[in-house]
Amino acid sequence: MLEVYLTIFFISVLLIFLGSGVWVGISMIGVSTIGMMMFTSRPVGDAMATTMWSMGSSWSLTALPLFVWMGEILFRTKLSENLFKGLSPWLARLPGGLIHVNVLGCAIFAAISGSSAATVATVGKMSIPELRKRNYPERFLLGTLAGSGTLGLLIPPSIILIIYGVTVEESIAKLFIAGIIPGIGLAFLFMAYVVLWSLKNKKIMPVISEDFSFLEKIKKSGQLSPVILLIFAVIGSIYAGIATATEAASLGVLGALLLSYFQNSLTKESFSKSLLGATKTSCMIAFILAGSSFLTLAMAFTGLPKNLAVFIDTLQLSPYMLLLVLTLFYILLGMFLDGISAVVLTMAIIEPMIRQAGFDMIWFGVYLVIVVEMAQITPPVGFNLFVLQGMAKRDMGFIARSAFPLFLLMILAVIIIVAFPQLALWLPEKMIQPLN
Amino acid sequence: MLCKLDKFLNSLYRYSGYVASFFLILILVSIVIGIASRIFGFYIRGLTEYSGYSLATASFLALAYTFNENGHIRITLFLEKAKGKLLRFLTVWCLSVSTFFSGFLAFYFIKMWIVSIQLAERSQGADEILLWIPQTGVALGSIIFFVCITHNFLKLFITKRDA
Repeated sequence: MLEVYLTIFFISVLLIFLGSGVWVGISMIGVSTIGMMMFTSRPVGDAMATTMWSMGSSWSLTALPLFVWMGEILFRTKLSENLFKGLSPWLARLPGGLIHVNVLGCAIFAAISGSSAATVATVGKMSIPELRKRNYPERFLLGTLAGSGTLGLLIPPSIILIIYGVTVEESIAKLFIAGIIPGIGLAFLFMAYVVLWSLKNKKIMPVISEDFSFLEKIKKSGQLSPVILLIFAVIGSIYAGIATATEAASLGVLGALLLSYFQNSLTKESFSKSLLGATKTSCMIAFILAGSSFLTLAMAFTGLPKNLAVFIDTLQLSPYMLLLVLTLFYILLGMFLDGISAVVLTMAIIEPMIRQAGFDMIWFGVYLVIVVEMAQITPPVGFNLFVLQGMAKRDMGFIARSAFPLFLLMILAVIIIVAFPQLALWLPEKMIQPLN
Repeated sequence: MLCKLDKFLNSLYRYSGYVASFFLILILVSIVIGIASRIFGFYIRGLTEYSGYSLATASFLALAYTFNENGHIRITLFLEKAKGKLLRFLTVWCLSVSTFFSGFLAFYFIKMWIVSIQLAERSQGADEILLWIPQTGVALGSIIFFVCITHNFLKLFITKRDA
């Protein structure tokens, strides 16, 4: 019984630390230290240092700063302008018109960047002013942008999939490839919604008169071809088994530098800004990851993850029931935590449980990312909402309400991926000997 | 006098951030060399380990810089709503917890570093490097991080302003 009280105390301390605003990394170190002192007589500090050192210097994690850097470089090129100019001629005549630029633009940028906030920022920079100029309904415009931005997490490269892969020690290359079909599928789901919504609300949708001949269209989107080429090179080299995720990332950085050089966007200033931005972001993530490796260690001593796994096992829940509970749990968590912290904090506890339940860990990664994506657009804490609030100068409640239909679509996507796990697993199985 | 110290420390954090970003470039370089070695069929011992060490060094050296640029993640939900005394209390609380645990972290990273020197421990990987060498940056970074948080903590009482 004593153990139960200690566990409750342990979890409460974690919640107090996090809730009162103590930095997530420090919270994890603090809670783990307290936990280990309570549950074992092992030297706490030494265990902390060696654990954090081995996580911090792990080779598989090196993909992280490189992918972040690649996104930072491309963010500072003319990409956001080119995305709008290149995509709009093709999409203007579809029902829903240029709103599709939001979805498709996000999907394309997602294949370069692993973060959803960066995706929203890049696409929104052009599409918000341009679509406003053409009188698209504000609610529809911002909602689709906030929702599509979440594709940044699912379509590879994905920061969250790297973090998940490192935490549960699964192949990042396989996880990336597993995210492709669900990511594209989700983008199509969003586009279908845009079509249906605009057919239903024809009256408030603007009529677009711009028309381009086929040749003009090709010419306009020609500027996008280097980026598309870069995407295929990066993802393709992982899929074909010629490069590990890290190697593909370094090729991506070189390609991005080259591209920005030829667009005349590569200056000393943009280079150092992108580099320092990447340094900061990857430092933040590496720190909470190192903290989480210590938390995992401390959690193992509390016996909580194992007991939870055994407990869930005795309940004899069907896998669907378990996933339902987990989904609700993550949606709730996502209202208060950002996606990265949610994954990092919970995997320490639930990894044994999901392994016990017999889920495929690659599949679970894809499932987890979709669930965590929803966290980006749920108030009061949702990163895409924060970004859009700043860019569109509208309050967060309004943006959150407008993104709600897309939130429902993501739930639909979760149901689909649970019903048809092959959507995530088919491509990785076809991979040509993934390098790790 | 204090102003000068403040200025000096802030540039220390900034420069350690710059050094960290240099190690990010080193990751890129060592991986590109790795790719080249596969294509041209030569072999360099322990390249993957070196890129891992560069990552650790970059991450830890950038801790203070990232902290000062508000780059570390935290839940600001209640912090944003708090005003007056409560805000003051929360600010002091967060920084004192962080001062304590960053000190704890720095202490044990230094200890790990010293033990590695004393035992002349070597890496288990192909690089077989003396472990204290790559651990230097991590120990140094954690000290600078501790100094940075303590600095911010003390500033709360000296300037009487809420950070």
